[in-house]
Amino acid sequence: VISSIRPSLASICLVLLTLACSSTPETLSADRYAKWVSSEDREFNKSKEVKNIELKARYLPAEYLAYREYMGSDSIPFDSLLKSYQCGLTFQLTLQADKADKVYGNLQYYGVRGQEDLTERIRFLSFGAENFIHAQHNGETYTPVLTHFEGFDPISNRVSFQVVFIIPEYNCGNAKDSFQNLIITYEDPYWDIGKNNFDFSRESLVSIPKLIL
Amino acid sequence: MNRIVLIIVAVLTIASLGFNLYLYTSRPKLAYVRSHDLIEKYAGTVDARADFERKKSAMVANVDSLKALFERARVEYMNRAGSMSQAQRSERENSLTLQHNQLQQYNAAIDSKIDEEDNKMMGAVLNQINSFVEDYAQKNDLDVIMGTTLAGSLLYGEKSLDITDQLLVELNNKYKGK
Repeated sequence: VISSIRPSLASICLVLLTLACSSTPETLSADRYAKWVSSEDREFNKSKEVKNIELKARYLPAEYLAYREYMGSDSIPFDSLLKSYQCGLTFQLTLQADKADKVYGNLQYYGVRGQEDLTERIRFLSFGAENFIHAQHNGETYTPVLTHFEGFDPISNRVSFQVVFIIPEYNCGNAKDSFQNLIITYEDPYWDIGKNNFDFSRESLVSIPKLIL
Repeated sequence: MNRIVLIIVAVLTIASLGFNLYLYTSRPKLAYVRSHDLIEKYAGTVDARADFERKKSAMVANVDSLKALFERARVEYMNRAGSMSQAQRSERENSLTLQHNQLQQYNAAIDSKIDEEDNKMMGAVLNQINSFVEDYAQKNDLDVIMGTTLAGSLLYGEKSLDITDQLLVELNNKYKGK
């Protein structure tokens, strides 16, 4: 009897150990918090590849943004910074391609026919992101309340944006029961990769460890 | 003597098994998709087409309202032409001809814009599908995925090699961002 119980006990222990390792910690120190948020394993760090362009959508929790700003400032208290971030849901979207890629080796100039085109592209990406990035929640479509074009990074051949959405059901971090999965949609304006959705589960947006300073 | 025969038979059997196994593993793994179904049933195509139709309707509505304006001006001229002098008629006809030419140019420009948008829309959708099919083949260890087309380049395919449905499920899940 004992010999038949042992393997079962071992497998239960293994399952418990796996669950313990994969579950979200309740609190984290600052350096571990930043690593935790940036890890590719997080469900809120999503990516897909279309035609050699890697498209990433990453959720940036309010505490992470507040901490980043707190480290760069010497006078604003952390709580004040956190307050300014906690009602929005912030996402970073990036497009990146290999610099050696024959088609997308330079994302900035892809499909550009001249200086006028380039100027218009930069203007549109800087001020018109709400035309191609939006969110869907419970059947409603939301445009971002804030958009920031972070620019072209020629070294990594990367284009990135930050967008902030206000979803009433998110309730400044005290999510109501009606807060469900959030779909972020990127409708590509220039690089021929079409409409791309990223489905963020409620759990992944709500279950974030608390930052201990 | 018997032992030698047995050893030879065993060696031959193992060699034959090995050879067959080699043949089995080294032959290319094939599958095919019904391209038309894959494209038409892909949620990305359905969405893109709906977006395109919305854009197209807005563009066509502009042309239609300009056509209506021209038509009203033309009818008005026809009704009043009898009471006009030769010079007035000539001036009005020139103006209407110019308006008509401009309308035709605008119409042609809109047609070309619609074609451009259509190509752009389908190009992006096909890029998504092709990237996914490539990824699917690598993950599932397939050497070749063929596509049936309406032109009939693939004449026959065993049903078990048809991966359209499973590919479509995964492709649509990916589109939904799951």
